[in-house]
Amino acid sequence: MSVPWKIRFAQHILGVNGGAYWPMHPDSQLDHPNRVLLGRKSWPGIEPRCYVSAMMGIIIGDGVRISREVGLISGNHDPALLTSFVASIPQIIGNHCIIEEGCTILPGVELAEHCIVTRGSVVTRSCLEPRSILTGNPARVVGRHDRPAPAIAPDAPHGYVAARDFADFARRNLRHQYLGRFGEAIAASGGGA
Amino acid sequence: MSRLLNMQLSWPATLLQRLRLLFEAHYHRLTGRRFFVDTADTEVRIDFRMWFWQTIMRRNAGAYWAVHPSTRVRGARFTVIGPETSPGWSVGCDIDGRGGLYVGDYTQVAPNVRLRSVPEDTEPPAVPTDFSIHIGAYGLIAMNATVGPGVRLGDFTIVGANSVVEESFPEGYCVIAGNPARVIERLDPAACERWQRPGAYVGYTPLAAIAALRGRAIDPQLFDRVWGAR
Repeated sequence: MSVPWKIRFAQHILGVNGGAYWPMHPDSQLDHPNRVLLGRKSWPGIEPRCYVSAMMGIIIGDGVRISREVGLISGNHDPALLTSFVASIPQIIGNHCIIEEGCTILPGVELAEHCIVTRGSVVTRSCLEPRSILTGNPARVVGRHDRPAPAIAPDAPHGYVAARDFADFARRNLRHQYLGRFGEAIAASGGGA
Repeated sequence: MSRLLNMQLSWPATLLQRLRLLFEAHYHRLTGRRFFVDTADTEVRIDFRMWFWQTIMRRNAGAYWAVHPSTRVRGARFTVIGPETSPGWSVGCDIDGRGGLYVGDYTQVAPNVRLRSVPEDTEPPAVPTDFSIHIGAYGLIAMNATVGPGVRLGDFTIVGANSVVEESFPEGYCVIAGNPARVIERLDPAACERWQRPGAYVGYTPLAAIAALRGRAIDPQLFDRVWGAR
């Protein structure tokens, strides 16, 4: 996967979504990029019109395919006072998940590995069963699949950050307190380097 | 790369951002209009990119509020919005006000929201006499939601993600979701807070100077329905 030059130009020259450490389309919207823990070969918001709202932290695994108009919403508005947010646990999207067009993943949801969320679904509850297919509004598990996932090289970069640098990058730059147990793991590994 | 050390913009982007901030901070010295500085801390801050695409490149130029370059606004003349709300501020919205659209005070509109005030395969009226969609104050329309024509939503209505609203919920104080949308939760009206921001802005215009939009940017008849009554 190479990054299109238009995306590079928008992010690195114009500064549109320039705070993201992974490639992102200029028509996608992003909040709090330093509360996103990204795996290898997954670029949320590379398709247009996505919304990555990492107010309460998002953890994305390796090889997650995220299509256009997808919302990864990690912080709920307080319904009584919309300018404030309700604290919640971070959203976790497992390795090799496929999130199709127009889906919305709501706060506190954890998706297991290899899940497929079909078009226009709203995932309101966690799905801890690997290889599930989720459909509907609200999403229900409608089946299983055994589609093979492409292998990911161990040296594949995390967005723009090379794999060998990522542990150091995450320890220095990400907001660990929003990343749950992953944040604790990052902070605990911080002795060396 | 510098990205290893800290999460910062690349140096050309930093330079451009400095220039943008300089422009925003001193724009009122040239024109006397203070919207860049006054909306900087609000929910719908006007940023340079939106201003540039609307005012210089004339994309969505009829809209008198800040919209993202990736949204589409039609019928801005028949759209009346309250203070500190901007339908289309987020990415990918489709705001169709040709049949008359009212969005109440402080209502937040998420990305990819479609507000369709004209029914499918009908011609929009030349001059609508009433609002086809009337969304109350302090609401939230979540991501990918669609609001159809003839819908009235009361105050404090929260429309869930990916829902399709084709019926009215005029009583407000509820969370509606699903396709078709149904009430899934009631809110306690006593707990809901009607906050106000001093010196609020209606799009690019201060609330105190809203009368300047009558007839120039907003249809006078629809303008009087909202602002004449206050």
